[in-house]
Amino acid sequence: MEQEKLLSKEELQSYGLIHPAMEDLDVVNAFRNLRTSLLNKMEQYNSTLMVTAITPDGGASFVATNLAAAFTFDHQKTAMLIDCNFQDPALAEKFNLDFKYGLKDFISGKVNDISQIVYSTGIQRLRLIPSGNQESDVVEFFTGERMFSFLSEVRSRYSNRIIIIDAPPILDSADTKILAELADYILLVVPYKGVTTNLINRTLNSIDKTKIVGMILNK
Amino acid sequence: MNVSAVEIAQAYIRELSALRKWFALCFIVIATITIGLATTWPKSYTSFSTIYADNSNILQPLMEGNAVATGIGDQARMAQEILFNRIYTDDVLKASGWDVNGMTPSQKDSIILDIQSNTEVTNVGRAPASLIRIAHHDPDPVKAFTIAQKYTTLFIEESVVEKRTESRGAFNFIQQQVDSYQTKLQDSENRLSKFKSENNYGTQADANGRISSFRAEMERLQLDLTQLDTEKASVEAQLAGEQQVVRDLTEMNEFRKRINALQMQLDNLRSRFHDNYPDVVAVQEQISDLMSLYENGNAGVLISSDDLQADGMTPLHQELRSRLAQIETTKQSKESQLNGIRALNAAEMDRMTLINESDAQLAELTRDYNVTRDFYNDLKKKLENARVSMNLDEEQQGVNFKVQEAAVIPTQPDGLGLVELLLGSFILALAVPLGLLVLYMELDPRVSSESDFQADWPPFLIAIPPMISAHKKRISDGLFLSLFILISLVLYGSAVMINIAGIA
Repeated sequence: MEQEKLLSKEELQSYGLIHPAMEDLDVVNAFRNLRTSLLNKMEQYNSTLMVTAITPDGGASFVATNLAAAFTFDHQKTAMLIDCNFQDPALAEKFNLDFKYGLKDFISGKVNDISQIVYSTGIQRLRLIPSGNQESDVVEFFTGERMFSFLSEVRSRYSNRIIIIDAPPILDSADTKILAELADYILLVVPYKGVTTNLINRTLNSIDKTKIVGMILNK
Repeated sequence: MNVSAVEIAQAYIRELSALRKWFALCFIVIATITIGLATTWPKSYTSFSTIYADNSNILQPLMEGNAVATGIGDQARMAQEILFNRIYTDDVLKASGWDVNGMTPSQKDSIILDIQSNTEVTNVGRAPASLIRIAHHDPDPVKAFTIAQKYTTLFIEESVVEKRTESRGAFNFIQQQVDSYQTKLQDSENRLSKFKSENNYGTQADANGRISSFRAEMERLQLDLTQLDTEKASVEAQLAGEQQVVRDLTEMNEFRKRINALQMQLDNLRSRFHDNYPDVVAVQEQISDLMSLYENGNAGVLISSDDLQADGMTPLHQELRSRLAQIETTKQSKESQLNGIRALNAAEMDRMTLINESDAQLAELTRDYNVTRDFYNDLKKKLENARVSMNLDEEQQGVNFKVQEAAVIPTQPDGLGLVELLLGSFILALAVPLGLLVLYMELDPRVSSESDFQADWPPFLIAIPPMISAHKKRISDGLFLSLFILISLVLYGSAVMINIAGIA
């Protein structure tokens, strides 16, 4: 892997990414506190955490990205961000990433080496797997053996790496329910003034609640 | 979950920021409408006078309790009745600048009703009010002054006439009442005296005295009769015992006389005949029968009652019989007295009933008389008071009306000034969108704070604040606030300028 080019503060700011020296400390501190809360709840660090919102534009990608960035504040830890939102992939664009292959390419068998789909983000210790290029029935990909073995391999590569999956909204996609089965934990993002309590109840009833590590309100 | 005031305030500020365009639009619309109303609302001027009803002249303490000056109970009502009288329609219309000669009655009515509806006559201060305020509202300040002044003058002039009429009316009324009660009093006196002359049964006390003495006498006589009955029974018992003694003596004497007579007859027969001679035997048998009767105690059959009365009187017996006769005589005398007294008592009881009935009628007649007399005396006093009161009003010494504060041409319109109205408009224009915001926040069912998360949900971890560039936000907010202030200044400044220029 070539030498990683780190993003400047201005770039991070313009991409909507947190960094320790940013002006708005409230947001940084909020993600730090969220990170601490999650670490207390997770049994091991290299777990798979699925971040999903209840509705589209609920802020799951924003939370997943910045949460991953918050994990990398610790120099001993790394984070892997996987864009599983095949319907509306946003992470590559968020990091202004020009990628060749992504997750869909790996699952479809177009590429077989995971390292071919892992990209630097410009943030130290944070890696990104974009959604990919393959246009096909994505549900079939997530239910396949390759997705399961992909996650196992990614998880087993580094013990100090947390895997964060940016998943589509629960009520908007069947992918999320399949991904929920594969993930160790689920973090549910509730958009500010985006949903009613009834809708949240419907969402909670549709997935395995025991995996939900907590809920956050994304203002 | 509890939400702090800071969090609530932050939520409101955030929502206000999000909806600031709507907020500004609502503010501008309301401000424009209210400013328009405030500057174009027709002005009204009020001119008023205050009249002092003076009822404390020098005569008041002198005449207190006797004369009654015409009161000031509800002067405002009285004044309104005077002023709104139709006879003053032309005067008021002329004073307000109308040419009454060219007007039809319906036109006059319409205008005078409009004038009256804009005229207020009120008491000033607490009852009994001594100040009357006559006020008139009109868009033209001079007209308001003219009409208020006219009504004041009319009231002062007419109230004097009204008072005189009122006090004279009161005097005449009381005079009629006095005459009526005088007749009633005379009738009552006549009925009373006639009744007294026709019903003279004495007093109840005398009748009660006599009845008491009769009862005492009857009781005494009944006691005497009881005593005489006892005495009579005793004498009769003694007399009965004495009669038995006399009877026994009489029987023995009769037996002895008969035995002696039969013995003499037997002796005579024996001297002439043998013992077995039938006559001798018959006499012996008679003697033997007599002896047998005597021995058996049946000697009483030998004597008759005549024999007893004629022959058997002992001195004691005679005395007892005399005593018994005396008792009987006394008893009859007492019974005769008792019957006489009973008759007298019954007559007195009848008289008592008459006295009671008479007293009741007399009391009613007396009461009627007393009430009528009291009313008559009272009315006589009131008549004199009314006469003096009437004289007071004739001499204008009762309640006097003085203009305390004359009507002037008003310089300021009624109600709130433009500054107050514009301030109210500004507050309203701010309050309405803020109120709508509060309503929106309260009624919005969407999740917006930690408190909306339910306890049975997975744990709430944190609320991520919005990631907005503080600098950009400050610039944006500053620009918007500046624009908002500028629009407000233009709106309210224009209103003030228009008012100063006298356009509105």
